[in-house]
Amino acid sequence: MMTKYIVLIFCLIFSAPLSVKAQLSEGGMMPTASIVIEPTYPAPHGTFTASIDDYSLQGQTTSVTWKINGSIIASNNNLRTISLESGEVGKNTTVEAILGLNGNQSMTLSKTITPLYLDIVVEPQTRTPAFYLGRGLPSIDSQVILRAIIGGINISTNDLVYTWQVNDKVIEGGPLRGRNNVAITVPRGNSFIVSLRVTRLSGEELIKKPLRIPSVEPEIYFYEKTALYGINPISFDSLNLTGNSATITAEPYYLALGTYNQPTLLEWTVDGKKSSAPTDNPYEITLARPAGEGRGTSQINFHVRNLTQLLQGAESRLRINF
Amino acid sequence: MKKSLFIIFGILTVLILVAVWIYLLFFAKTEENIDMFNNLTNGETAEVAPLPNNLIEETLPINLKRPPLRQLTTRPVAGFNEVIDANGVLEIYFVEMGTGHLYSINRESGEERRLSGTTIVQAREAYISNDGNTVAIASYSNTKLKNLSLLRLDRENNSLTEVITDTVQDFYLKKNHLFFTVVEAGGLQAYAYDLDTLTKQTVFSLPFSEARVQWGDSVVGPHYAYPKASYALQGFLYKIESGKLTRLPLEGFGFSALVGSSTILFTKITDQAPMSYIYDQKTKEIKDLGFDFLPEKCLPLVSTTNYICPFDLTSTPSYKMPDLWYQGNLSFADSLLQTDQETTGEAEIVVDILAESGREIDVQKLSYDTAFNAFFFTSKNDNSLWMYENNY
Repeated sequence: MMTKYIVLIFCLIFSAPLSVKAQLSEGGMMPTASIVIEPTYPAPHGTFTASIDDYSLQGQTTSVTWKINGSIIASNNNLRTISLESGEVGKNTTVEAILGLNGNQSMTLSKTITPLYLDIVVEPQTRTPAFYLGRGLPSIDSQVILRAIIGGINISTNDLVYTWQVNDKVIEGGPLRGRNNVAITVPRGNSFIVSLRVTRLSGEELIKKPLRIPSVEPEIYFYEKTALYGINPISFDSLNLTGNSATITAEPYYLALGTYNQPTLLEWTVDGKKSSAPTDNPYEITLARPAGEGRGTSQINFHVRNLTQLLQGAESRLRINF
Repeated sequence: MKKSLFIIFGILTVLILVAVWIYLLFFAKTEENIDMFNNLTNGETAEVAPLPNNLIEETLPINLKRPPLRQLTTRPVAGFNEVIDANGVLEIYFVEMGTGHLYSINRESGEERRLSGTTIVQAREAYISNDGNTVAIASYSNTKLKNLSLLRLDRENNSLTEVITDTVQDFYLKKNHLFFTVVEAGGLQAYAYDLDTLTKQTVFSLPFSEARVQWGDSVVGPHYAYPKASYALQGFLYKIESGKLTRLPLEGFGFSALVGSSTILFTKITDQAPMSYIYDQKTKEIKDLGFDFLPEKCLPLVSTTNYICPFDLTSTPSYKMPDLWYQGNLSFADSLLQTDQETTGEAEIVVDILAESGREIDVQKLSYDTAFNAFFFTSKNDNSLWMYENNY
């Protein structure tokens, strides 16, 4: 009895690949051809190419006639690849190729192109001073918010499915319905690749885009601060002390906001001696001209770092002439 | 030694010293300057400057005309506007940085008059309405949030009265509205106060928060917005009309733009360096300008397709623009250039500011007033206010 079951299981295991192979030969060997668009998702007002992919046809293609939005373009006759303009955002362009085959047979291929914008706005959550007019840049272990904006299609965000990837790792493990923005942590390296695939609820792919985002090291610049005007937005690495004192602010650009707000190491040194940081704003130091001394020079050093994420930090120095 | 001998020796020494002093005082000539301080002689030592043989005395005209380019005030300026008062007098109103005091400068006499002594502590950024009666001032803040005050000018009491306060991301006073933005639900929400009624209206919302907005003339718009520029990040231009967001076909790394009447001036990184272009909104044509202007510093000229741009002709383009300028790591000695898209397609110098003023001025807040026939701007380095009369 046992032997019968073993033989039966053996037969089932080895007959399974045969049935799969039979299905492939029925469906997979059907002669097919298609139009290949490059780039896959043409941008509005751009150019793209349409090519014939007929390698799986059994016969030979003897002629090609191209139709754009129903009109034959005679100059493109018998070309296997043509170049086209993508036109206005959201406006459909129908590309048809009528293939003449051996034996007076023909085959019509069709593809509709709808140029859309897929903008991924990168918003790094890193420190830049209040007067800075630009966007901060990502640094390793900092947070970045990615926001996707699709232009040219009137569809609710909630009716779309977003699949976000960072360096081939899918965020949250799979597609996310209605999630046109995500927060990510910047991985190691000088840059990383974010790719986004947007599909309809039916699964039809709408648009796809990869994007390389740089990751920079935090940088420190020094600025003078006065009680009347606040920070003067002109940086310097050497200061001539003309009055009796000066307040210097260290601005650590591109430092993660968490590290900026709660640094585990923050240190000012004056000529190698550690200086006590003021309690109200540890990024500021007030330097006074030494009483009774003539002229001289001091080296001021500033260091801020997250000791649990060592790449989240920066150090810089400044010379004071008095 | 005897005491008398010692006294005689002492008297003799004193007499000799007195004689030497008298000789040096009345008879000695200085042959060689051995002091540590030297007379300024401009090169070779010359006791008498040689005179030209045929000296023709010229009657030089005394120039009473004001120079076309001139600094209007010594005070640092947080914001300014050109105002024509009820008597038709042309004046420049400005808010002093640090104090928030409001001043006017008479265009003809140059007289400076304080209109308000109300102190706004650490006033940093200001806008003044066209009639000069309303002022919006933001104080210095260590964060991206600005403490905004909208104030009315009480001319009788020389004071400003606060009518609205708010915490905003950015603001702008244009025509009859105070536009401002706040971050809400991760995006940017834009509102406007009507200056007459002080009613608040929603203008638009953006799905991202780090945006630079170019405000339109009315609440409806069109307004324009793009993500704040950085050389390493991509930017895109959007048009917002009646609250509806439309993507325009302009984008790039280090992207910033300025929208004119029918064209758009934009700059982006091209081949590792910034480059400026003009986009024609009708023909959709893009032309390379051959310069790397900072659109934030430029000004579209009304009723033409041309722009006035501050530009340092000696600067070397850096691929890290505009970040370096925003950080204050790079400063310019600007000239004013005018693009000419209608005829030559090139840009020509309107005024070489360094040559005219002798000052290196990094121009910002450039404006032009048709009543004054003059350009106005401030210097980023010291916030001084300047005027250039271009029909001089």
